[in-house]
Amino acid sequence: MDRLHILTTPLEKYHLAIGAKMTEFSGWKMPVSYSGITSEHLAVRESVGVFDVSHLGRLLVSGAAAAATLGRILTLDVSRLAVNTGAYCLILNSNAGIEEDLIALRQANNEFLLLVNAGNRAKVIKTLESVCPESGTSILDTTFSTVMLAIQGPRCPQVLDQLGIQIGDLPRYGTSTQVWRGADLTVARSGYTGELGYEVIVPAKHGERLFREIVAAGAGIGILPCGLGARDTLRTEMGYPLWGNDIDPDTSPDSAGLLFAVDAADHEFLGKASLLKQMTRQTYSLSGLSMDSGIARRGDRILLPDGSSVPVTSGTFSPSLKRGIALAYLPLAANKFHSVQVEVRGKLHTAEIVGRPIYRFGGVNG
Amino acid sequence: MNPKEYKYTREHEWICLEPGNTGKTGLTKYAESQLGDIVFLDLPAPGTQVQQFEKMGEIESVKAVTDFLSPASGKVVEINAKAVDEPKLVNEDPYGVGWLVRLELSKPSELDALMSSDAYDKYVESLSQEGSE
Repeated sequence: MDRLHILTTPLEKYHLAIGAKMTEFSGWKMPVSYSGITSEHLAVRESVGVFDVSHLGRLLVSGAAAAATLGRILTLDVSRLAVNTGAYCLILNSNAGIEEDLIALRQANNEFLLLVNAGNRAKVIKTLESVCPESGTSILDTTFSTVMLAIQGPRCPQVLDQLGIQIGDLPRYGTSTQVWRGADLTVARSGYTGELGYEVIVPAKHGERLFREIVAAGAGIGILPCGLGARDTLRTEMGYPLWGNDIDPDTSPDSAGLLFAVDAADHEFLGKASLLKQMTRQTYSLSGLSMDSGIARRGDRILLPDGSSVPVTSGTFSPSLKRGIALAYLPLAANKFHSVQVEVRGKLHTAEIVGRPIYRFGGVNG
Repeated sequence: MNPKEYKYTREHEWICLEPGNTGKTGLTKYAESQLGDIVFLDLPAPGTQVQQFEKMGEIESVKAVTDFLSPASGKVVEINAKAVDEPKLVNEDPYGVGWLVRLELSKPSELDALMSSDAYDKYVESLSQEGSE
């Protein structure tokens, strides 16, 4: 990534002022942690944390044919979504490889907000441009004019209530819009932590004020500003794949365990024919591992009983379980074993095959 | 902030010479803060012979792992069992209770090749400037 074109969040100065350490992620300079990954992680599991996730792409797709047009490229038939609901779905290539995973929110009959990975924003726009103009559907990239915050954890409703931000009884991926103290807010019940959580999108000029107000409102219940470090440990514990690590154009929804995000009945989309063909010969599945010792990292090798090996796709220390955890594509046949050996910097460690989520004692699962 | 009487390596270890030709070693504040929450220490068994600037252990945080190089040659005489049990001590007090390995030095003159605290302060400053561009 060209260093001259590193993207920054409108809250960068504020983050630095409250002690953030910054990191580069998908071309953006974002907070990796403030008080420490462990304390931030545990705040989200036990109470509440707030993340700046302004690096995520926000694309507004609108027009009379928006639902039908999106349906051609998304793995879900979004014309079936009721207004003010949303869903997690995928964009596949012609080989059924995963080009993107995203959340589509139906904000109005003719309007969808797509929340996409930072590193894939340009690619998704290009894909949309290949089908939208011909159907009169417009694409508006609001990533740079807005700020997006994630408020996550079992006590997040208390913080939002106190601020007068309405969350009502939104279902998972439910969404609403409202005016909060002069600012237009989009609220969605979504996140990447496994806990109850909401994501709030606000015009960029109100972003810092909203972040400050959230931190102040949660002070009495131990809210912490959280960075991408805790976001990664939280999602790994839940076994949620990260695009670029665990899923990419060479992996498919069946082996990644993402068929719940695919609607193949009466719905035609890019990559469907390949997917249906290869689902019958799936040989690997994305599995969760819990280490007896050591901490496997991405790229470490998992040694299988037949002498072959597969790489760890995500590996970290789990602050909840106090041990190393990892994700990897294991052959389906390996699931008859309870454990595998993992080579971590020349030493062998045993890892239990535990499925996903790896951490099973979470809250209400979003 | 970095103790005056300690000596420092470019890889962010410190050593503090003690009476009787032993030296206490550890990780610097800069390294601790770069690593973040430290969760695991792999330190050499007492009796192990180590060479200056060669790996004698591993320090693992939630997000990364780094080698711990010996600031001097000699024999490991003690490791900080308290820090092994509670690695966050290295984050909390890297120059005090978070020390790592005590060495019996075989070539004390090697310490002349290390940085003084002033030189190390400048070195760290130069690294921070590179990182913030």
